[in-house]
Amino acid sequence: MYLSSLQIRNFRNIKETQLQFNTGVNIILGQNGQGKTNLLEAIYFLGIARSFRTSCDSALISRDMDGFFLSGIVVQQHIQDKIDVLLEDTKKVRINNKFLPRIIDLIGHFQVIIFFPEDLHLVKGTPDIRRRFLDILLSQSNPQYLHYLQRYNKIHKHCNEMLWQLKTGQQVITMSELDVWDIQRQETGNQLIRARKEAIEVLNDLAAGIHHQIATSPTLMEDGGSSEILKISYKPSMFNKEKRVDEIRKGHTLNGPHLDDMVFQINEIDARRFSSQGQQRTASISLRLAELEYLYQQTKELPVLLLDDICSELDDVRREYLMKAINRGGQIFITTTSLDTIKELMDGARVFTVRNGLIYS
Amino acid sequence: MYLTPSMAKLVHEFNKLPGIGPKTAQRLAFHILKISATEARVLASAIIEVKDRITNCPICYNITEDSPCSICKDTTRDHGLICVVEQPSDIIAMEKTRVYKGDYHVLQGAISPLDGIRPDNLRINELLMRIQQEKVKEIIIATDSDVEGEATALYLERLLRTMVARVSRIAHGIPIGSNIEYTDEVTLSKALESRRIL
Ligand SMILES: Nc1ncnc2c1ncn2[C@@H]1O[C@H](COP(=O)(O)OP(=O)(O)OP(=O)(O)O)[C@@H](O)[C@H]1O
Ligand SMILES: [Mg+2]
Ligand SMILES: [Zn+2]
Repeated sequence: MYLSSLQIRNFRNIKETQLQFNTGVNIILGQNGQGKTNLLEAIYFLGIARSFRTSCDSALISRDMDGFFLSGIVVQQHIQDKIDVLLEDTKKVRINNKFLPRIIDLIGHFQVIIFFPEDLHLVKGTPDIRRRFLDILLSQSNPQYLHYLQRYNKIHKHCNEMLWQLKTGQQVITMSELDVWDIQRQETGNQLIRARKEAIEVLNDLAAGIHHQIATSPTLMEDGGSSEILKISYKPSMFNKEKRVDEIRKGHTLNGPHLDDMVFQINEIDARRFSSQGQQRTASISLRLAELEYLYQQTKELPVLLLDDICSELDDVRREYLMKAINRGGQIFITTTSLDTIKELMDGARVFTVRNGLIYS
Repeated sequence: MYLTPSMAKLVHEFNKLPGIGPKTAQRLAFHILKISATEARVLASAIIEVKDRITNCPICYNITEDSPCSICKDTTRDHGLICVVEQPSDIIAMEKTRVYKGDYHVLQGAISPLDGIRPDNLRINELLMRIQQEKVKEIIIATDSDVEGEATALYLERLLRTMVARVSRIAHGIPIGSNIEYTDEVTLSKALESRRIL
């Protein structure tokens, strides 16, 4: 799968541009603050209909403009799809000139994976970051998952509304009314739990292998590094009927997949709390590479890789490993301030230079 | 753009209708301006007439001009069978099939706590009354398949299962005439779940 061309209008500091991309490596070169990440963000938006660095869509509209427009041609097994995403008063998505009834149905048409410095928070950060990672991965590989996720979220809101009314005593609510929503929440939630459990098992196998290879590279071993075993496990928030009294007291649900987490351990020690930043960085890269492999296994297509500012954060060992691991013949977009840091990818690459929102190829 | 007070009022009223934005509202208003006074009066009185004539059937709560409605009155239908739907428009769809020969019951909505709609706000008590008074053999629950429709179906099923010999739920499946290849995964998996033995 690759993005063959992209038209951008009024997105961040990119006013108007039309780009043709390489099916392999595309290097986005430029000084700080010129619009490199903005270009990656536009590409990501075409796949997920949201940004990887803000949840506020209107921040993406060029200052003093009313909306933005993105239009890309995605090629998959020789079939071309035109994807348009526009944001004016509302967000709209068109595939081959037909509006999608729901924005969310876009997901799965253009698979993208982002690698960026904030990935460290996959290991270090709060559980919601890991849940979002899982949700995006599973939605991209399995449309049914997205369907259950949306249903779950809606049911969950209804549940919380009931519990809140019970707590505040605004209305008399019978237990059988609450039961109806709880039963649905469990049924739908269990679908999510099952999908997450299966995915994490696969991700764990993949990521552990990658992590081991990075950690046992000769250079790191010479530096006093030692063999490391990464283990990623699922920590589901299981449904528990006995919590209902507490739920009514609090006025909201206290369990279910919206509270799930994923646990990283390195040599059996909780990586979130006790590992070094370098170890956490290796674990997060391993997870992203596992994501790539997982999507490939599930969809038999290499997703498009977006790498933002990756080199600045990595030492040579991890950088070299990553460069090798991502270069598998799929399409890559990588930002950098200097070509020196990505020598491994230069072969056959196309370079785009970004200066003040203008993109030259 | 400048609108006279009466035009502005008409645009405003059209704009309140579902699915009609300001531009369409204005286009409709200008259309009304163009048609003859007679045509305009016919339209206005058609609106008044539905409001005056249409009531809810006291038995099934479908919209009707007679009381009870033509379906409830029809002696050739099977009154032991009640199909429970959310809206009167669902009956129109069901009737188009010409397959179903039982009665209906319109709930006038679905359970939705976020919209403040509770079982008491629906015509559920009226359904219970019917079940007590009539000889009902089977209730077919035909609420929508969104979360609110499913919650309503579940609520009814649990409420009715001791009261009626049979409570059933319509199946969700692949639309006839559509290609399996082009059916979305969710519909297809639902259809698989509700497959039947041949
Ligand atoms: N909504 C917006 N409208 C106009 N300009 C914007 C908007 N949002 C961000 N910018 C501008 O975009 C520029 C930043 O672009 P971007 O984040 O892509 O930089 P970069 O090239 O990735 O830099 P770095 O190398 O530092 O990561 C800033 O100059 C900022 O003012
Ligand atoms: Mg940047
Ligand atoms: Zn009737």
